[in-house]
Amino acid sequence: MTSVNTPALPARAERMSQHRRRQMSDRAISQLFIWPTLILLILMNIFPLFYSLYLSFNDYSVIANEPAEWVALENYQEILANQRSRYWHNFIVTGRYAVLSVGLQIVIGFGLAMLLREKFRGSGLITTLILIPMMLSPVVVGLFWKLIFDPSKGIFNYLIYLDPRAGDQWLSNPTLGLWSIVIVDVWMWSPFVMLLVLSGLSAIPDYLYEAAAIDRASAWFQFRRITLPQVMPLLLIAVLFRTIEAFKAFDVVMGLTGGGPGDTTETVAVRLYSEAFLGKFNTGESSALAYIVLIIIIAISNLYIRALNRAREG
Amino acid sequence: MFGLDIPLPEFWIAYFFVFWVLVGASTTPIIFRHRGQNPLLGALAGIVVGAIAGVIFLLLVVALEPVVDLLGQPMLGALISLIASAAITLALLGFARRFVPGAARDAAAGAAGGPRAPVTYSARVDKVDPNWQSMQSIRASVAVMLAALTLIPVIWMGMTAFKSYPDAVASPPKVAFDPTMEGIITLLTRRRQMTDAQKAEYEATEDLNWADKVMLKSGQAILGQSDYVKRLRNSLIIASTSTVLSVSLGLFSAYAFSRFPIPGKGDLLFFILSTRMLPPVVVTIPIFLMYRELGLYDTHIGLIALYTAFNLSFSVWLLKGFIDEIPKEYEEAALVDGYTRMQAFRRIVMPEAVTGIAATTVFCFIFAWNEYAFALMLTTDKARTAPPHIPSMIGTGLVEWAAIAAGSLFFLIPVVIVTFTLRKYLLRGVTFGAIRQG
Repeated sequence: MTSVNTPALPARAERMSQHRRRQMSDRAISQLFIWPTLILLILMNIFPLFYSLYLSFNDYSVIANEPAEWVALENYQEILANQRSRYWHNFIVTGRYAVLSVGLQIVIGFGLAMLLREKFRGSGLITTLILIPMMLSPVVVGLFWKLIFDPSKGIFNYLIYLDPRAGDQWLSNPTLGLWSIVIVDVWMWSPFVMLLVLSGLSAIPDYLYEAAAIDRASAWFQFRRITLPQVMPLLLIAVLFRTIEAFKAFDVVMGLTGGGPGDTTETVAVRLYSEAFLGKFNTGESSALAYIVLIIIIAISNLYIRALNRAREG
Repeated sequence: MFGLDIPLPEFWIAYFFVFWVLVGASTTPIIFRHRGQNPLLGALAGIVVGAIAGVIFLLLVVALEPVVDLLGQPMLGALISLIASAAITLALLGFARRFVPGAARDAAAGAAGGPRAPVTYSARVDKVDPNWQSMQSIRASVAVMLAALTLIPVIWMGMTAFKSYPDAVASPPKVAFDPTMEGIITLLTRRRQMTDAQKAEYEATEDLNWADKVMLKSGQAILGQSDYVKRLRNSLIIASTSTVLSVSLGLFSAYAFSRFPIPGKGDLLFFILSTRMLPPVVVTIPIFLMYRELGLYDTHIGLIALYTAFNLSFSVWLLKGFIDEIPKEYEEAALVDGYTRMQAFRRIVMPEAVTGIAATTVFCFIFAWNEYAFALMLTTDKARTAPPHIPSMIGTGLVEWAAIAAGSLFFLIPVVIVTFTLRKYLLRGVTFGAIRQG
């Protein structure tokens, strides 16, 4: 306390004691600050989850005027064992989509990060421009790529084929349908991988490279022994994050193909939507499917959070 | 072009030409400077050399075509010829550098044992090498060209929004067109097609505003606002309300998590984050049933509550990161000085965290603004937001691509602005505050 403050001390002490009386304890404040959040999350996330678990053991449809009927594990059996319901097809589509798009995103994102790694004039602007797709609304992106993929009106075929008229019908071709979704996803999310890798690259200490240069290590050797191991944790996070997102893939698919042609691009999320909200409103069965997806995602998120913690510590 | 039968569309010709000029103009000055010549002269020479390299590149693509034809795979062939010609052109560019003369004064200085031109441009041993620097310029050129490529869809969408109907669906697609506001007006209004007689009568009326006049050209009269205006208004109300709620609730919780010892803190934070990982479709079924019971289906409040809950986990994590960075000592000093905890929070922490709060707000808003799945499944008309509405415009009759593009443009513009203003915090935003940009 400086001498300037001393004269004010008695008054301040009195004010302080007044405050003491009215003021809440830290404990009370922390309760007050946390509970609204927790209550909202329990109400909107945890309760629905248990409700959904209950529904998944029932044969129930929201539009039928019949009460739910307890069928135990029949819904799960229907999904996992019944060949005719073709749920495995949706899982395979989702898996292929996840592997293809995440793989390409990692390669392209890493490449972009390596290009933008060393600052040059305007590199900040270029990085930001490349990041724009990532922030766009996925369904809107899906829609405008629909126009771009259009064989006669779109520019995609005009850009990649020498003879656009003989080019492929991207969205109505069963094999290319999935590829077109992968292309859009890669366009949208490679910047995300790039962003993560860039932050990893900027954290590598310069002296490692200087030492390597003095020892005349080749560029490839430097990349394999310094760059790659140092960026690995962040790359892992990118992979897990994108894999989780791939299992949630809904917006882009709905905007672009709506699951078509036929059901060749019908991901699990799209199937879930059409089971639960279209046609027969198979509430019970779709809840069971939702739970299966949930378990897969929880498994991946667990890995993700572990990797995240390791990256934070290291 | 040039009377050659070039097996590439014009776009790629222009694209690679620009690329080689860029490479030439950025690498040659480095060599010039290194040899003690004027770098500006080098830039000029580089542009010329780059242009020549571009022409050589094109000739190479043409020359390689018959070889590639033997492979029988047009796509693969084009790719191989591209890579091969790029490699050859690059080698030629490198070879051209040999002819840059070294300046006499350097040689004289070297002979006299004096210092050469001082190296001022980098301190790292491996970065002063002119080869390394030209490599870096080439990398920069590639990055610039790739950024241009990435933006094509976005630019194309922006262009389509200003096309007239025939231009928008023209085949082949039109790059040059007369800009019109038709698409945007189509998006925002309901219209009626008129016969010629009606049109003449309509034209005679006095009080036509500019929008009416634009639509008159395609023979349509404006009747009123379209559904899209309503949807956009819903989007705005729902996104902004839920953002305010989730940021303020998130700020309180983030502060508590950051400052107070809370039993099971790690588990609670994990729980909060895990709610964000849930796929929307998984939770919607029970929420749909719940809302139907409570009468919240297709209401603003329903969507606001849902978006608030979903953004909350995100805002808690992001804000906790920001608050963690504010030194505890500031508040402790304030508490010693007689502030209550609440006052310290309001007067010390909030002003310090204001950038973090702003960034979180914008991220939450963008998420709510872009959200599609919940809005699709939990609304039909009254509270429906714009994202699920835009695809439904395709289903009805003629596909008004210009209108759809205009609708998307409303989603593009805010996002582009946000991306630029928040570029420092993007990494934090997309990883829940876990990773900070260096």
